[in-house]
Amino acid sequence: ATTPQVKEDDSIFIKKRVLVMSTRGISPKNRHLMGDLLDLIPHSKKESKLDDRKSLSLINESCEMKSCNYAILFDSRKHTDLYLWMAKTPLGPTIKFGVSNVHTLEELQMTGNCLKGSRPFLHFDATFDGQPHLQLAKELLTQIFSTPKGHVKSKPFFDHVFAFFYQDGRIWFRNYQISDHEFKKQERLLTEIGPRMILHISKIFSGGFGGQVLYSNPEFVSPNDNRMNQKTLKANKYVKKIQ
Amino acid sequence: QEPIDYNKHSVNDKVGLTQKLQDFKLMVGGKVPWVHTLTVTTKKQLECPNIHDDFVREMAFYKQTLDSVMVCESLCKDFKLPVERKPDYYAEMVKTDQQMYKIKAKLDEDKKRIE
Repeated sequence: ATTPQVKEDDSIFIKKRVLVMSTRGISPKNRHLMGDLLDLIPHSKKESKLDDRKSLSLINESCEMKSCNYAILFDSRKHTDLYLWMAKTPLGPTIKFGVSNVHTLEELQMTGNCLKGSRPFLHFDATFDGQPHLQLAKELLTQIFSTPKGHVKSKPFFDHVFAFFYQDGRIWFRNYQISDHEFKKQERLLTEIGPRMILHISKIFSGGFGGQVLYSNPEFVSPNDNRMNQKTLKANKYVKKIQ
Repeated sequence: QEPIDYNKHSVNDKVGLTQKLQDFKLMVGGKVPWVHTLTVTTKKQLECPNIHDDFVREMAFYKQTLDSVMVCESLCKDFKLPVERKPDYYAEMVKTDQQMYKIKAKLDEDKKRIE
C-alpha cells in the first residue's frame, strides 16, 4: 500500500522543466553559451526573446504557459555585460548572477565530448555547505542542472560531470567528460568539454523574478560601475600628478 | 569624488535564506534520494593556493572532480545503474562530428608546431 505514495513523492524530481530565454541585444558568444546550456540540459525549453526588461515577473506566466517550473534568463546589458537569472517559478527563489570568463563549446581548446542528454553527475566543493546563501545556490543549481531520472531525452549512461567550485567569492563552472574504461583500462580520466563560466552572485530574491531581497552581495561590483571606477582611477592619477 | 559604498546596500538575511531553502528543497520523506540528483559535495576544501594561476587552479579542480566521480560511480553500483555505455550504443553527441574534426585538426597542428 505504500508504493503509490512513494511514486507520488518522486514526481517532484521528475516533473522538472527549465525555460531558457534571453533579452534582446545578446552578444553572439553569450547566445552560443545559451545554446550550449540548452543542449546540456535535456529538460529545457527555449522561449523567444524577452522584449520588456522592466516586467521580469511576466516570465512566471510564460513558464506556466509552457508548463515549466524553472527559468534561466540571459540578461544582456549594453551588448557586452551578461547577467544570468536562475529561478524556480513562480514561488522562488531567484538568483541573479553576474557572468564573466565565458568559454563556449564552439571553441577548439576543450577536447572532450559527451552524449546529448546523458545525465550529469554534479560536484560541489565543501564551501557550498557553509553559508546560507551558498546552500541555497547549491540547491537551485542542483535542481536546474540535474536531469530527471528516466527523462525521455536522457540516456541510461553517465559520461560527464558538472563541477561547481566556490573560489574567490565566485562560482566556477566546469564540465568534464568521463572517459571510457576501454580507452584507458587502469584509471579514470577526465577531459574538459566546456562550456566554462564564472558566476558571481549579485542578489537573491525570495520570489520568482521579484519579491524580497534575501541577499545582496557587497562584493559584487556591476561591470558598469567597474568601468566607471577604472575611469575615475585613471583620471585621479592625472589630477594627483598635477598637484 | 567619493568611492561608492557597496556595503551600504548589503543584505544577508540568514533566517530568510534558511527558511526559503527549507521551503523549496526537493525531498522525499526528509531525504534527498541520490538517484534523482546525482550530486556529491566533497568534505574537503579546495587546495588551490593561487586561483589566478590557470594551471594550478585547473589541476585542483580536476583532482577534486575526479574524486567525486569515483564516489558517484561506486554509488551507481550500489543503486545498480549502468555507468558505461555499451560499445554498440550510438547516439547524438553534444559536439558534432564536424566540430570534433576541427578540434582534432587543431591538436595535430599544435603538435606539428612543437615538433
